Amino acid sequence: MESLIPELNMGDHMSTSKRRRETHLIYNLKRFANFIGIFARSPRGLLGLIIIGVFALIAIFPSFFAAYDPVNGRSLAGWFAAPAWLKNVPPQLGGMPDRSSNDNPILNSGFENSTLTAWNFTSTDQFIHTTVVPEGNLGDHTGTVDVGFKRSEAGTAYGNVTVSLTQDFYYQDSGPPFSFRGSLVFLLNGTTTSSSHLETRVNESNRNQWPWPTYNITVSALDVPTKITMYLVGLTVNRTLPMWPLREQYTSYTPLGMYGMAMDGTYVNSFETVSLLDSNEIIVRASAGSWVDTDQTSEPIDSNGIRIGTMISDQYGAKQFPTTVFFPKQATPGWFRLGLNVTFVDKDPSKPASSDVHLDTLNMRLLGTCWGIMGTDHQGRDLWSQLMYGAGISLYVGVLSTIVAVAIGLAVGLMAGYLGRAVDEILMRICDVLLVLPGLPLLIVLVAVLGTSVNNLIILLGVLGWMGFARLVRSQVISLRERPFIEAAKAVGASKTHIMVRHILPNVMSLVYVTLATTVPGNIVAEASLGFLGFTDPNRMSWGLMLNNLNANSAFQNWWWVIPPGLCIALIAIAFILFGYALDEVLNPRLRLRR
Amino acid sequence: MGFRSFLVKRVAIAVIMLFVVLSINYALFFVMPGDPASLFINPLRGSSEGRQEFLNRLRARWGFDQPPEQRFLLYLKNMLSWSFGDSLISGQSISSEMLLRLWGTIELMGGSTILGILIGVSLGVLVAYKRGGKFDSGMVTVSLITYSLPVFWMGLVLILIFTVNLGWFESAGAFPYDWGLPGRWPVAYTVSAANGTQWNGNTVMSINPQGTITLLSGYVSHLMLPLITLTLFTYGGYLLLTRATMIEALTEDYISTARAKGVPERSVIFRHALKNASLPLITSVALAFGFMISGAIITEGVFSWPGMGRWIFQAVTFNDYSVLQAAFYIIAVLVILANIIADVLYGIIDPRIKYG
Repeated sequence: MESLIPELNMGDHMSTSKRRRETHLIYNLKRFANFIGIFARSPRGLLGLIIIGVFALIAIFPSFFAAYDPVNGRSLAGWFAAPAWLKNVPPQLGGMPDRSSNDNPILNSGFENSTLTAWNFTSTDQFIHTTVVPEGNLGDHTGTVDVGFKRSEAGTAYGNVTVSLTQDFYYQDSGPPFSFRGSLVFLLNGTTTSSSHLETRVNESNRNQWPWPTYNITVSALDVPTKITMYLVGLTVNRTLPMWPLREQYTSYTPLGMYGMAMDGTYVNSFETVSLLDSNEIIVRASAGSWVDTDQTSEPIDSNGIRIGTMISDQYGAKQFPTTVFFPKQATPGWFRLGLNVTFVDKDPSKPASSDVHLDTLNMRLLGTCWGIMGTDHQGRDLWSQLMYGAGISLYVGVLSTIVAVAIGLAVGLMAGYLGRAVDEILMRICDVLLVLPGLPLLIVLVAVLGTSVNNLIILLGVLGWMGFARLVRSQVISLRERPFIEAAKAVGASKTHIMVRHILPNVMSLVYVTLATTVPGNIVAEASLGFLGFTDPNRMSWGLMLNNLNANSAFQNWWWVIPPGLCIALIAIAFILFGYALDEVLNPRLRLRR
Repeated sequence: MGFRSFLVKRVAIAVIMLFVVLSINYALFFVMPGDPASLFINPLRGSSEGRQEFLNRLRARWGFDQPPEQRFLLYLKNMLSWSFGDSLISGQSISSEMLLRLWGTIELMGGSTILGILIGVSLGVLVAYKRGGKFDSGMVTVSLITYSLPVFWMGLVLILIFTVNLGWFESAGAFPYDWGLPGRWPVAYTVSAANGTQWNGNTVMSINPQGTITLLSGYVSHLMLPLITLTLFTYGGYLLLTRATMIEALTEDYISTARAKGVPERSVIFRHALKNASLPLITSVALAFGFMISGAIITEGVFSWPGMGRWIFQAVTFNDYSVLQAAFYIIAVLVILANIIADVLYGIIDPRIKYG
């Protein structure tokens, strides 16, 4: 109506509009305060709001609540680990005192001291020399040990000459660990001072890469073939656990990428060495196959108690072997010894011989069978972190897709209801057709086709979810259309768009708010369902994906994995429903009488 | 406008809608990227020409090399004759594959839908009658919770409780796995010719009690968990809907009139209130039966149930378009039918409704 009043004075108009804006603002503030006042009287609505707030906080700052990477943080502990606090619960109440914790009994020795205090050193021959090179660096810390063999005259070959390094440690848990992980980096006949060639070292986080990277490796030829053996001895239980079976290093240095070895020493999975060196170059390429050769039970059961998992090596003659050795089921506290044998095979008496091996990062890690607040999943990832990070996706998808759906439904409902006739007919028939198609199968097909990214999911959930709301708005608009104030607006010549946006829209806004709140739960559950079926972005952990992992690994007995994700979905869904109902009661006062 | 002309108009609209759905169904899978033929190819083996040759033959066999309009006509013919053609992946006729899975879905979905409606509606009536009390708010809260819980999670929790901890029911399949092995299927009854080996029309059927019990317990122990899961999932919606419409009906004037007349309370609730409150219920019940055939993709996935839902899911993962087209088509037909039936039922229940 403003446009119809002739304006006489520009400045006057400005001040009027400013004043009007001010009164408008004050009015709105009062209305809002009034709304809050009524809303605060509904304890259920407040409860819903608080729960939503907590989840929103978690969704915005997940890293504040969770310390680990939910997707890539593998092998934090053993697979399928139980929550750590269950260790302290009595077994009658479902506690698990036999679970073991993570331990690092031999953590980077580093060899930075010039004396090897922690290590026992034995050698069988006078040709062996062992020196600590504090400035050398092959691994994570500076300091290496140089084990060398040198025979300066020709004439006699001395056969096998062995150096062994051992260190004992005490294992304190009453249950077995999930696995032992040893690591060693060694360099045959190279120099240890330059660390640049170690940049491509395969580390824990990129081990699951596929295809495996190809490395170009340069080593100088060895005069003396060298074997390196690593082993674990149970001192109390008197049993030797060969962590790494004999590995022979001859002049045609054969880098082993990854292989599993059974108890009897047969290869399970071997690396393909494409070309061995004549020059100083070797190209290593991984063969097909999975990298872990173990069954995924939470407590490995092998009558001998030993399973060799993986070995990984790569670059430049320097190799790292993270490996997995499963323990006997009945492990008790006791002493164990980690040992490393370096054997030089002196066979050729015709010429002088020398060889040396630099050793670094000789570590021992024990992965426990319990971990953190919620244990771990099938890859040893922290479930608590996954739960925290999952809140973000759920809320993001749930809220945004609802906004898309409500926006489409609002537009369609307004147009169909107010414009009527052909527009109404066409829009409502589209609505009917969409309602006839099966929702979830269609959603799955479209997600499978368009890709599983989060944004696709939002758009699809929005595009497939507006029909009910459009019908609701349409019926409301049809009844509003006949009211006198619309008649009046028409009489003063307001355009259809103006009437729809300025007169009808404000009257259906209460419906919009309520529908926003009550549609979110459905979309959150839909997102979780798609995640559960595996149609989700695998690089973003969601609650549905957590349960998909659980189902795929049949880990139903791990209640600490089953219960929390669904409980969170339910909590957040119910919070939105409570909030929506409270809104409904405030915004549609007629309903208050009925309840 | 009489009932007959209403029906004619309604059916005409339904037929038009069906053709729209058919076209959408075709277009959707026509524009879909992802080639099912490529699933049959090992990209690491054979020569590239050989692979191409194989792909071409496969596409020719499926009719993918034909022009789009030819393919559309073939598709229409397949759909309208209800033969649906062959599955791209298994090569079997789709109608026979569907029949294999139909029974599992009808058993599960039919059972849970009926149970859900029975429980939901009867509890809803009860709750509406005793509205405002503790029973009312408790039931509403519980059904709101079960209604908003993800159905797969309910399934997992039920497995955790009843399979893992209590060991009462089975969690996978429709019958014990080993029944599929030769000679393991339990024999519930035997039919043998009386008096001699020759078939003479007089047969004796002897029931094998041991086998019958095994058969029944095997089926029931597998059906129980998915059935409970789906029933828990569905009843809440019916309860809330019945409660809302019943409360509205119970506050109407004609209820007071009926009570004033001295109509028995049971009759007031069921004949006066429920009958009038049942209109929105009919739509939702009809739709539930319409969508029944689509199965419960998620629940069937959790419990490895051999039904339509899992079939559709597998078809999605293997890009088996022909199966998906057939499934979507049948579902659309059933839903449209269910809508028509609901409209007709409206008039039978509520004589005030004028068709037109």
